[in-house]
Amino acid sequence: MKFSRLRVVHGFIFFFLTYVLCTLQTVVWYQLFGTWASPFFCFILFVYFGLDKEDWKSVIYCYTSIFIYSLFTYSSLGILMLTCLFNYILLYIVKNRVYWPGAAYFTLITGVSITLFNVVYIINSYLFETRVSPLLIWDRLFQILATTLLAYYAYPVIKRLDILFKPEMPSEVHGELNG
Amino acid sequence: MNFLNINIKKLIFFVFVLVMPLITINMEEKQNDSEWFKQPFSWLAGHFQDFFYNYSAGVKTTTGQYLNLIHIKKQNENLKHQNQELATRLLKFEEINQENERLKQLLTFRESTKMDLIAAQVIARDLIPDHSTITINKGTEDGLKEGQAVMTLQGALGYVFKPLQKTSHILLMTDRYAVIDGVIQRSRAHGIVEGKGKTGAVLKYVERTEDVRPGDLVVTGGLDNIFPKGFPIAIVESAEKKQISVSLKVDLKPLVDSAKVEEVFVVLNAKNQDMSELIPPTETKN
Repeated sequence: MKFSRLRVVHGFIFFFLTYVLCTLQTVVWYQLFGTWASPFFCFILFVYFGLDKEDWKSVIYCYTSIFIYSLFTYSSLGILMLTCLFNYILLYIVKNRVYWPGAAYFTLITGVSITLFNVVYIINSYLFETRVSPLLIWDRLFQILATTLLAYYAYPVIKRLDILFKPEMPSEVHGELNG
Repeated sequence: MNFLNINIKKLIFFVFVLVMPLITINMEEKQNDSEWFKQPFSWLAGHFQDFFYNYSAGVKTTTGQYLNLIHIKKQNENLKHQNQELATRLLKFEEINQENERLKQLLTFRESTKMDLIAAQVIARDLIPDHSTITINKGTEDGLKEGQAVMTLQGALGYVFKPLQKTSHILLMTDRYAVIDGVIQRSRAHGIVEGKGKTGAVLKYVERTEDVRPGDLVVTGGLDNIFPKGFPIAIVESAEKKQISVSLKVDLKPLVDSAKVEEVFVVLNAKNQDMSELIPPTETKN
């Protein structure tokens, strides 16, 4: 398969996976646990791409995923974009300073990111919305803990999927010099 | 001394052999006399038989039980499996029964009103926890449009804000962005019902002079062109007159617990139905 085509397949797989995770959170979790707060399944993918990919690729994926989130919520796209922008900046700064591959690092950063997401979301709501977001401390706390815990187990799966569909750069043609 | 050269021992033996049956025959003829002789032997025989019978019966039962154990174990597993299956079926049956009851009530309600209603099931909820929205399994292909009222038999629930082809997103009245025109049923005091998160709603812009008491029923006013007039929304939890405010602070408890809603009605066409004709005025609870 051509490199560009592989790249499209890779993008499509993760685009599709974001949809699946959003549906899992809004439909499957609701059917099983009712209105009990759920882990932010799709946010784990956001953190993964923010940390693991090159800058331009991570930007494209992160903003695409925010657009997908907005389809599943009443929250405005603007507030979501602004909230995730802070998260993206955090990921960008962190990965350029401290980075070691592995589930522990990923879990740690996911925990910090999801906490930041909730804090920034409330601040943004106070600053930009006419009707302020309720605090919902227990719901948010559960979401932070559950997402962080889930990240540890999700990391190997996402990594495997990423490697499985990773577009490889075409290797250089090696010729022989005669004479 | 032994003139005839007879073996005395042999003779005694033969005599004994011949005489014993004769004695026995003779004794049997006189049954009453022989009882004393037979009794201890009979007693012993009886006990022996009884003992051996019990012993062999015990062995037979134990062996039988042991052999049966394998069969019982298999049977037990089968019965357990059957029991589980039946329990699951029973649970399913109860669930269907409850659903049937709910649908029956919905049908009765639908028949008692002249509005065009469409029943739908709740399939999902909002991705972000601070918004109270749900998703139903009916969309534009079923005739749903933005701004249509969504209700249950207990009362108003919310309205359609994003209809898609097969599903629709509903903004619940408890969401902070939800606004419904409301009236206190008893005193006809007008206000605007606004959501305040998961817990409830508030009735805003009610004049200080209005008569509002805890327990009053709040119904839809019909001015928002979303809900039919007179449909129950919430119960007044508390009404407070603040010193500096021109309006009352009225806290409401929605009649519908959105966390437990499974089936809803979407009002396709209210046909100017006044629900107060169907719902009789209620007295203040306090």
